[in-house]
Amino acid sequence: MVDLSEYRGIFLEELEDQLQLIEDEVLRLEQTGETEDGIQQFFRAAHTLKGSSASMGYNGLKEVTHHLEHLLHQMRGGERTVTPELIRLFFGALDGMRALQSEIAATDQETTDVSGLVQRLSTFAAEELQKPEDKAPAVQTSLAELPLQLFWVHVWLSSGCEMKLPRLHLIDAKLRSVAAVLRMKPELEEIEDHDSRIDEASWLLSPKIDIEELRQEVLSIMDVDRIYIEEVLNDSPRPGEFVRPPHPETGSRELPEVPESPPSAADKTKPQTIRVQVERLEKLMNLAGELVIDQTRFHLLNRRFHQQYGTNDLTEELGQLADHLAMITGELQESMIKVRMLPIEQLFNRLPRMVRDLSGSLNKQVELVLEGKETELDRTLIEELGDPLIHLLRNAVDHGIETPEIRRSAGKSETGTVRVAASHEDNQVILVIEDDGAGIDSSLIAESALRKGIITAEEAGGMTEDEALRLIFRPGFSTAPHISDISGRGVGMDIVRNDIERINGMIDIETTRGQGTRFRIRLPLTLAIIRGLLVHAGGATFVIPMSSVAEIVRVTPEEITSVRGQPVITARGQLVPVVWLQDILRLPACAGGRSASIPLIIVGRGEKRLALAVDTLIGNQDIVIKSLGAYMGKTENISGATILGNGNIALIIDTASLFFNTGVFA
Amino acid sequence: METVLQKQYVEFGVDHEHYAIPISDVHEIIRMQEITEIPSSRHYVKGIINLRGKIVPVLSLRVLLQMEEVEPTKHTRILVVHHQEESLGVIVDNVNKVTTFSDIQPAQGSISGVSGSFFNGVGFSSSELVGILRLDEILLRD
Repeated sequence: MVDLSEYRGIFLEELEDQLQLIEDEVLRLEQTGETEDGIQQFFRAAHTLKGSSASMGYNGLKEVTHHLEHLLHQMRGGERTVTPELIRLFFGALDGMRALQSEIAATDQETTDVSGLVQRLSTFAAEELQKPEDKAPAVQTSLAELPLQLFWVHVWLSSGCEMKLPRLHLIDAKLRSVAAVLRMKPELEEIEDHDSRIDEASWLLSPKIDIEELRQEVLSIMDVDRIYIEEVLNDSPRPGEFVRPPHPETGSRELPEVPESPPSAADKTKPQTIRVQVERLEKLMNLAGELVIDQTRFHLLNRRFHQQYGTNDLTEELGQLADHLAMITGELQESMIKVRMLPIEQLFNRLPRMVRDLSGSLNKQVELVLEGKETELDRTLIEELGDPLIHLLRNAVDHGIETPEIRRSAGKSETGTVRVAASHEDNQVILVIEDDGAGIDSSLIAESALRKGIITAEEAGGMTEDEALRLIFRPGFSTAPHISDISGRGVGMDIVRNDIERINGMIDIETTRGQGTRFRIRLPLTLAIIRGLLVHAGGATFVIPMSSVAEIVRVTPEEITSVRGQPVITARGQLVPVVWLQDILRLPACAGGRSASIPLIIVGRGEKRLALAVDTLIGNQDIVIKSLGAYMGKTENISGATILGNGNIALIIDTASLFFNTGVFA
Repeated sequence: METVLQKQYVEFGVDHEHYAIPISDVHEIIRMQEITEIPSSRHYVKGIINLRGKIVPVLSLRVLLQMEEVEPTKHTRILVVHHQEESLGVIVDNVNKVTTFSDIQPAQGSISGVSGSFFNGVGFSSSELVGILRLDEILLRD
């Protein structure tokens, strides 16, 4: 038995790609009906998976994909058309494959029994087919119908390519998407039967796009080593008589039409990608972070040299070096952040299926609109964002969108719309989740909060609509009149808020009764590096994330007044409670009298404002966030630490827990 | 217990008692350094240090073993140990030597007021008895 474990990672990546492709196709099939291209794509994906799972010895997957392929083959041949039962079957197969996927990823074993699924697939396939009226020869395009230009495209895979057969399938799929393929040598099916170590193949095709474009398309596929294109001219051998192309290195035949050129950088206009393990990236990121710290120290050292030894040739040179190092480090850091960025599409991909299943089970009609799929953000953020986003979306479908009857009687279209849109704004990512449903009645919220003892009657009376609305973010709150199995299972909006705030984000809510609700999430681009405000308080240095700083003011002690024993200031017409940072952190008060002007950092969280009094302001700085580690666990008021230029540690203030712990907003 | 006999241990002192942990658990031994306190953390957590760019939490073994805390001296050391894939610093009064034990007996009851569950055994070295600590057990306390 060959040890396949090293190929498992590659297989799993391929599996994820293909399953996603299948999911997209099934959803499209359901929404817009069948298209030739769609079925073809689907078929290719199933076929690729069949090949690779068979070679890896995953029999469950192989069986499922084999039967899927069979069904798709019938569809492709026009013998079967899409029906709701078929869609359900496809989704069932997809779920089965997803289950196998996670088992393979976790234990390398297929434990789910898919025999029932396989049985259903094969029974379905064996059921009587509609009589094909005229069997459209979709793939067997005859030569005569084609435009005149014909090419043989020969592709060599690089010797390092680890999964040659799936790769050839991908190339084949790509070629079929941009050209009419008349012939392939050897046929993919043949390869499976005979030699899986094949590393070249040829296609006879008539391109639908410019042949140079086609060359680029193929070259952009991973593991393609060389491509050789030969036009089939009138005096060329008949396409049936395959002529082996000369090897580019040893070959002697002159081919004037499309001279082979080595894939040069200029040649490839398409962005090229490689897959890299996340751990390697993390390691690089950490190293870059440490370099930033060293660079800052170097910068300080350079200043001290200048102070101590004045300006001479040596210190000049040191200075230049320090400047250059600063520049390079900055660029490195920026590039590292970019490397970690992924399009939010990854996350969005999970949503259509979820909304489909959910709206189906609730008998609602919901259209999901996804915008800004290409918006990029840090991969850790994407992971952390998954749960809250799904929860918000579930809420929108479950509580927001009304049933078709109610919508009709309210004069709305029966199909509700849920929009999820991502975009960049300054240095932040904005994520909007909005529905055109019933909206939220803030008075009901206040009532419910009162009943549950979350607020007192007195508080309820003095509440503005916005304040009442924000009660849904309080722990232990759920507005659904009955507990459905979808949302309201104890995981409330407070968890969503906590999740968002943990990644330094902010969530806001707007609602109009009868018209819908909109959640707006603001997120930093990355978690690894943030802009922080350095302050001194109680003899230590702290960092306050700039993302939560609303304003910085200086006040005299007289400007701080007291309302019911709570020190407050008036900022922009609003009363803002004042707390000393060292008091909340229970640090010893700073020795010496407080100066005539007190720096106040006004931090915001939703509508709330809190003024933090500190001893001194140090300034703004990009800081590399370091976790305190699992042993320390969750620490009150502190979200992490950073290492400053002088090697000292500064703790990063967790403004969210600060708000919670001040007691001012209880 | 044959394999245990061959094992090397780092022997250190806390409050006039001798303790040891396997050398394989010890990443490095460093001198006392400036510790950044973490407000409202558990009382045995003294804070965090910057160990060549890495943040390492530092704990007081005295507090963990429910002994009285003392001011650090020039002999005070921090044992940097592996604990569940992380580095942790453990403050001890002094580090004596790396040693092996000719005989290790199971620990029974408490030893000098420290619960027996914290010990893997008692090692006999040339002159005195050394408590072999189960660091994992001690560090898991809450």
